[in-house]
Amino acid sequence: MSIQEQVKSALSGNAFDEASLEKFIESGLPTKKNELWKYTNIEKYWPEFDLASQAPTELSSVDKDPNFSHIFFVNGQFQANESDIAVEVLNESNRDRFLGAKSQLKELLADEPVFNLVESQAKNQYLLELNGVADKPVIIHNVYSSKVAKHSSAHLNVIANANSETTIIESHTSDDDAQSFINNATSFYLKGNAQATLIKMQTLGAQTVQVQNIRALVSRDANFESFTIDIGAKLSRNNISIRLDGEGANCCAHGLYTLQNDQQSDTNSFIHHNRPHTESSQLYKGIMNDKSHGIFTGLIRVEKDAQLINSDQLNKNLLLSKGAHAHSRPQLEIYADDVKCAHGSTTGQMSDDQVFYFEARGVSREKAQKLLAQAFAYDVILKIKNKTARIYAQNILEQNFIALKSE
Amino acid sequence: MSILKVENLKASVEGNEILKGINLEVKPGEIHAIMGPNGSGKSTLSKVIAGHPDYEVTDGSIELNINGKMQDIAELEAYERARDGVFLGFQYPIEVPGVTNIGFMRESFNALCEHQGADLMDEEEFRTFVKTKLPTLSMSEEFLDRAVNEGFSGGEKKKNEILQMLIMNPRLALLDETDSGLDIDALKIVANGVNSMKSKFNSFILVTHYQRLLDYIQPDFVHVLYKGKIIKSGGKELALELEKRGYDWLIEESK
Ligand SMILES: Nc1ncnc2c1ncn2[C@@H]1O[C@H](COP(=O)(O)OP(=O)(O)OP(=O)(O)O)[C@@H](O)[C@H]1O
Ligand SMILES: [Mg+2]
Repeated sequence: MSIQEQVKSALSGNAFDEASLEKFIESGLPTKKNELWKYTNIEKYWPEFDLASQAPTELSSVDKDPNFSHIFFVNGQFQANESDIAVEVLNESNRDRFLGAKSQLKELLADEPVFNLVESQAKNQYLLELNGVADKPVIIHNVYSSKVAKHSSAHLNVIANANSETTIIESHTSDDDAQSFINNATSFYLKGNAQATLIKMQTLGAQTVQVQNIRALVSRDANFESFTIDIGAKLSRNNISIRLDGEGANCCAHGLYTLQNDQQSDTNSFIHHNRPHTESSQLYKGIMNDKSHGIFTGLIRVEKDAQLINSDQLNKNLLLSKGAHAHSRPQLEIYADDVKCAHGSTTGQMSDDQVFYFEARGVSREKAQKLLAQAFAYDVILKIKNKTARIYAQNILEQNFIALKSE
Repeated sequence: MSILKVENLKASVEGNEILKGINLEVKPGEIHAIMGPNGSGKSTLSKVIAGHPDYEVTDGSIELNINGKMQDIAELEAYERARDGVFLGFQYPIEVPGVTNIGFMRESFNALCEHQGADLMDEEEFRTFVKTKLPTLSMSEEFLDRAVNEGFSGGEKKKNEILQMLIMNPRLALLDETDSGLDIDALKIVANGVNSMKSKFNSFILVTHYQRLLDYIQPDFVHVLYKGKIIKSGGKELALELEKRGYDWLIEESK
């Protein structure tokens, strides 16, 4: 059966959103002909579509750091018993609270086939409401356990109510031999003056494929910050779409990918300045070793009536071996005239002079390279404002930091 | 016994021979000055002794006193030589954004401690230790928390090299033009740093263009390097003569 036929026979008649299913059946998975998927062949990794296989297994160990509130998902399914915060199942009765309120959110990633696939599946659609100023950051533990190639999909819809302030870490982990094909989405609707930070901390096993769809509709004076930190997985893909939809709405979308062997990480971000007086800032850094491949495509669009815009975007790549490569595609579509946009990208090797400076001070070459790569990456982590979350991200990075080989 | 013994050293970079047979012996407690026109190979000599990977030793030997035994170090990596007591003060100190100065120095200090089987220092202990060295160099603590050499003035970079030297307390310090670009006050401070470390157990090789450094640091020997060879060696009076007469007479003489 073709992929479309597999999906159709599994979901037809009980789709979460019939229109999305129809779109997916029409388009199928994106191919290289789709400009936004030019460097990533997702079809290659697709296992037979079989929803029954998405059953969660027991959580093996639950380690709850008291500095955080915890939420657990296993293979996309919410685990109420272990979680500190209640996540609702999104259904007919509460659906309008989120989606109905702002139909505009429906426009974000509407033409992205993998997101349409997430929206097609009735299973694992959740709703989380944020109120007030959170006293500690939330960790959403996403654990994947499938030993054979299986699909896992979940969509978390988050309403950040007016004046709320929350930092959410989405951790994604799987065993080394787990072969899940993960296609998730996290959607935010930030109401007036809400502050929300999402940090995706991905340290999946080397056999896992992950697509993460991040959408945010940012209202007046609200601020959304997203960090996608990809360390593990065979292939990771981020689709990020943020719309600044009220005056004074700001966003940051930062990312870090540290890759080795034949890992690939592909980020496609779209920042849409839809109103005047909005600001966005992006820093994406990639460290590629061995034969790995990092891709960044970032579109910034400023609408005609959106004057007084500030926007910056920077992609910096560090190649640690001759076989590694990076692609960087900054794109601007500006229809207004009072706009400050700075964007750029650089790709380079580690400076031999810097390495020698360390060596001349007694530090081994290997250690020097590791410290320099860490310093390069650390820039992104420093942008995490919440201190607890920043230290957490820093520790994960240090623990997982690629064992650099010199060439 | 000597600290360093260089014999008939020839070295090249990218196929070009730069050092063409250098002989140099340095004993404990000695200060040697190396002078010579631009491009004569002074920096190359210091880098080759320190183990820069771009330079290939094609002939001769470099022996270092390691634990009382003269050992050929030509095959050792730069970091191994550093751990065995060789310090290179850079003519152009390198900027390392994203790494704090104190973090950088602690890495190198602990690398030495580990090599010597001594206890490593934690952040707090190390800061306390480094702070004791700051007054000698008239440096403020603020320099410790800035990125290595980033945004430092020329003079501040050179002082920072000397600070690193004092912390690593090497047996052989090769200082490549540490005096260049310094005003007289900074020069005195740098010389003060060197003199505070000088003892009968360690030695210095100072690469310099200017006799004025030697007013503050008394050299035992002065060597003139020209086209990859030492064409003249003498005492400190040689530096004074060079100051007056330049290099041409020596170059003539050596032909
Ligand atoms: N990496 C290199 N590739 C090619 N030639 C080099 C390289 N490094 C040094 N050289 C050459 O070797 C010669 C000696 O250079 P070196 O830097 O050792 O001179 P120096 O005596 O320190 O000069 P200065 O007084 O200007 O510092 C010069 O002719 C220089 O151009
Ligand atoms: Mg030089």
